[in-house]
Amino acid sequence: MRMPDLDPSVLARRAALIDALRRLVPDGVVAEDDALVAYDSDALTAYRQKPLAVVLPRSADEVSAVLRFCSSNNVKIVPRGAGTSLSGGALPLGDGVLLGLSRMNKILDVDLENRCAVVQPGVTNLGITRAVEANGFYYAPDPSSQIACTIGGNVAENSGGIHCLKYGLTTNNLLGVELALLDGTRVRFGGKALDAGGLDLLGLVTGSEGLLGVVTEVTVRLRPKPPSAKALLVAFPSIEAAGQCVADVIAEGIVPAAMEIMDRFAVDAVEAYCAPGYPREAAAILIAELDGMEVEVEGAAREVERIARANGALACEGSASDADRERIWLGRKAAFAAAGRIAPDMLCMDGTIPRRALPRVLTRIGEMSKEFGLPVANVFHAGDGNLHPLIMFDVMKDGDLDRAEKFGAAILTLCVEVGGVLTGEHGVGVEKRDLMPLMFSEIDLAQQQAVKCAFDPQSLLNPGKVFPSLSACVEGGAMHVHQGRLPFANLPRL
Amino acid sequence: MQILKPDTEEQVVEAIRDAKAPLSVEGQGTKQGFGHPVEVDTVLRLAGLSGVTMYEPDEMVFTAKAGTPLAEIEGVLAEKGQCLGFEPGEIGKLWNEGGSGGTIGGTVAAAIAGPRRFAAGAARDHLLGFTAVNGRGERFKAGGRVVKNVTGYDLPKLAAGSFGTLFAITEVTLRALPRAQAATVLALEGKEPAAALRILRAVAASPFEPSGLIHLATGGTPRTLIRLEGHSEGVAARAAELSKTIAKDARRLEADEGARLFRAAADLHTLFDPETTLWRASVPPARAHDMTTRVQPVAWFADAAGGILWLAFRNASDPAALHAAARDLGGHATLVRKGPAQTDDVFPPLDTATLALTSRVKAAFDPARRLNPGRMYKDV
Repeated sequence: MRMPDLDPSVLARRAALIDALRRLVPDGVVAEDDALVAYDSDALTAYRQKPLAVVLPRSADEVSAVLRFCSSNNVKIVPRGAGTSLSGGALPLGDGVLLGLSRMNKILDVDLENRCAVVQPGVTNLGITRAVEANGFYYAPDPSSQIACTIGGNVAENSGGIHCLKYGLTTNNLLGVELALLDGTRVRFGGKALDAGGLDLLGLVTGSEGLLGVVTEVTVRLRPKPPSAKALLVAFPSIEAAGQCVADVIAEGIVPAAMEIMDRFAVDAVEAYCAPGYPREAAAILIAELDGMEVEVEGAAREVERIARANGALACEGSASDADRERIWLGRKAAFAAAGRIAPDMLCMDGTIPRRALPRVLTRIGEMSKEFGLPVANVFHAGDGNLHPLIMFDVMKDGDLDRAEKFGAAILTLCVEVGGVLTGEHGVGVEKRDLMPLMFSEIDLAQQQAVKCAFDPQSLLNPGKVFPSLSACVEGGAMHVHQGRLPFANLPRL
Repeated sequence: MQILKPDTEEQVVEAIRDAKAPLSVEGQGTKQGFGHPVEVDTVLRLAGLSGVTMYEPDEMVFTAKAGTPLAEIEGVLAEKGQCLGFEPGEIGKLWNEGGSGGTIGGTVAAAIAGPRRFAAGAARDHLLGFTAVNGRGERFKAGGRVVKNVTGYDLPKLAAGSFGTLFAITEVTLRALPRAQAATVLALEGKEPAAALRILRAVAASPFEPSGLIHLATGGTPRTLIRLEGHSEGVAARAAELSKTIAKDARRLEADEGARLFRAAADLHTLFDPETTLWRASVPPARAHDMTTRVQPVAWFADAAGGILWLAFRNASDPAALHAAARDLGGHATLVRKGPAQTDDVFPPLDTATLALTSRVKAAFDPARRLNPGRMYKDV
């Protein structure tokens, strides 16, 4: 993975830059070589790079000061929350400051009358729910890393989760953010009201992967906790039947809180790992969760079971208690960890496809698994067509990583071919950066990069992520394409 | 006044690329009264780009050319038992009584949404992707056709509510939602505003999943309305529970009457005297009553449990005072239908840094300011 060229003038000034940063953020700079190792990757561990230095501010003013300093000294910045990105969004740069927001972890205001909470970016996703659940509220988006991942990172990545089928992604659950721009200025988009005035800059910066600014405060929408929830565990003789069941449920106007499918390979892996008691005879299992008032949940559960039977379900089991529901979810939530026990290394893909393409895409992934000689387990958010094929490999084996990446690229190519997209919730980061031309033309990408220039004319914020080429901003916010070619035109396009 | 009426995207590209002077971009032009007048000699009217080009009911997604009439979209979706989840009304009739209902592109560009927005989200939350021509005359696309998508910047969010100031939208891809099998509207009558808004907020914080929470104080007896939608069994159970608890002595409206009132709340034009100046304020819901008390409208209606206020004034009202009141309460206000010759700020005034950023974003799409210059902000 080619990253932007190191800036020799920055490397030459390293000691002086670190001294200056230490004055801006006392006790908040990590620069010792062995300590930097802890920050050399995020959850996409195939890529590692030690940053120039790590800076851990405690306040929005310190964030602004660091940005202002980096801007005037032409130093790149990589923002980071908890470092749980699966796409390398927080992969450091050797000549860049890694700006960690984890110390800014205070909940500033819980405002139940307005059903919102104002928090600092380093508060964990689950931390928000923990702070309000005694009052019967929660924060809906629930990425599987929610115990660790930060809300600032969620905003940057527009994180999803199992329940976004009913409750939406991060972007649908935000009311406002405060953003520090590259020159240190802080702007507010939105607040406690339902929408912001002017252009929807809140919507624009959500999911911008740290390329437009650094989130220094977040106002999230809180929702009342549903009074009851029930999980159904359904066994299917084929993955196609499971996929059809999901499509039929949605077509009938039932909106489950979540609908997840796991294939037999994934089921076997989790049974070996934590034995949740999934049916072993099934080619695929479906977990559907329904929430709301009890009478409604029971009614919808009967409907889903009827539709499942009509699609040839082998067995259908409903949770009898909250503990039982948690047991049903246990295996799904442990799927990544379980797959990790089978193979030393794993790539988790994240394409989204139209639901009806599920059977075709899954069949093809199975064939490709044989062609590439690498096993793949399929778990996915079936309700919204978001696939998570887990490609297993061994980085120590010669050529395995390369094959795994090619396999992943082939899966994503297929997703785009059937009308889908490269990433549903993990972000482009470095992982899918060079695949962007599969979805977007040069003009599409140049237009997006012009937006980047509007926020970051120096191209210092998280460069090397999202876009397959680096742009130089020119007057008027446009992107400069040198002699009609993209600067990385010689990069292989997968 | 010259009117360019392209029938194809290619012609839109040509019109913008070859433009010697700025253009006023519109669909059918029904909402030209919304925002500052664009003072130009040439109108780029996109109504000729019309038709639903893709509709997959089982995927609940469709693509339509930007000039497709909103009513046509609703008709196509209704045939398959579906609808637009954000419930946009034909608010163009606020300015042109008896006029047409506007286009899907205009609906998105003006971020129109009705009472279901409270539960299902606004236009921004339903726009999955779009194609547009920027001010350089380049056709580009953004987003996709699936709900879960974080590939590249979320430009569909920016498109919704951009009022044609960044690019001319030529095609939109939106979610469709199944129409609810059953709907019930509970009504409370004659409640004082503070009490009515308190009840609506309590319902909003309850687990009864309301899909519309409005208080109408637009003439006659004030009415506080709670809409519940879903499967019949569940709707009945939620209505029964609400009538016993938060909304005691609520009356269940006849289905037709409930539907008519919510339709009016989405369309707006039948609710307010055509002579009035109309504002929309977005405030933290618990501050809604403070807002109405402070600005004293002659008629108003609260949507989203008070989070959105539609405020009518007999006279031109004092725009600076309206903007200030909304800002002081943690929100913002927009002048939707202005009095004659009123030239004050329509959109919420922005601080220096946000205004500068807004100008740079404009320049990223339309550096020569060819498209709707000044429609939202004077120099943008």
